[in-house]
Amino acid sequence: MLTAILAGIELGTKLAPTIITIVRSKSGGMTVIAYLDEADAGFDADLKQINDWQLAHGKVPTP
Amino acid sequence: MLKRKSNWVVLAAMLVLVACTDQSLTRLAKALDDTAKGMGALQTTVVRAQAQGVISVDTTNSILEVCKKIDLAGKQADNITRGLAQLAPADRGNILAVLKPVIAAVDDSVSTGLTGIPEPTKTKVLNILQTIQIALNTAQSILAGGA
Repeated sequence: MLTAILAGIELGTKLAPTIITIVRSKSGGMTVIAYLDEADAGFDADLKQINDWQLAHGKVPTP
Repeated sequence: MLKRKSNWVVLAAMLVLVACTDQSLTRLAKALDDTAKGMGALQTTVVRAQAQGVISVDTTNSILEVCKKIDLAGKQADNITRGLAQLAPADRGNILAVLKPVIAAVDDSVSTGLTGIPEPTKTKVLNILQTIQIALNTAQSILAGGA
């Protein structure tokens, strides 16, 4: 029984990257990385907007 | 035969586990994306209101300073999440520690009612803040293991 469980875990471990890719592609829309990329670009744009506004209005941007 | 059946049972269990974990990560990533979009809308509304003379430069600056903290925390949470294949308890704690102060800041802004901003801009800003609050609460709920 233990051997069977270990063999199952080994098989699952080998297949994990493929399984994750399949699940992500079937998750109905964007993948985790796509959402994170979009969020990161959004936060960068938001920070740039603040920096630009502060510079234009004589406010020293905080680090 | 029994060994093969056990293999498939374990594999199926792992599949379910991976699928559930992945859904949590996807929902967390989407919540961060929603937060970034909400922050963009909020900042643009505030900057435009200042340009129209509705709110002062100092009030705008103080709001944008709070926005900056939220944006930086969002980026930090994004970077932590990027390296994960699953949401382990330690990872959940690390991301929650980053997000909790900004969740408190947004909650505080909503509850105090943004006294320095006149209507109708105030209502517009509050509505956007509530959208951000929902996204952050979703992230918090996922990280707390409740979603």
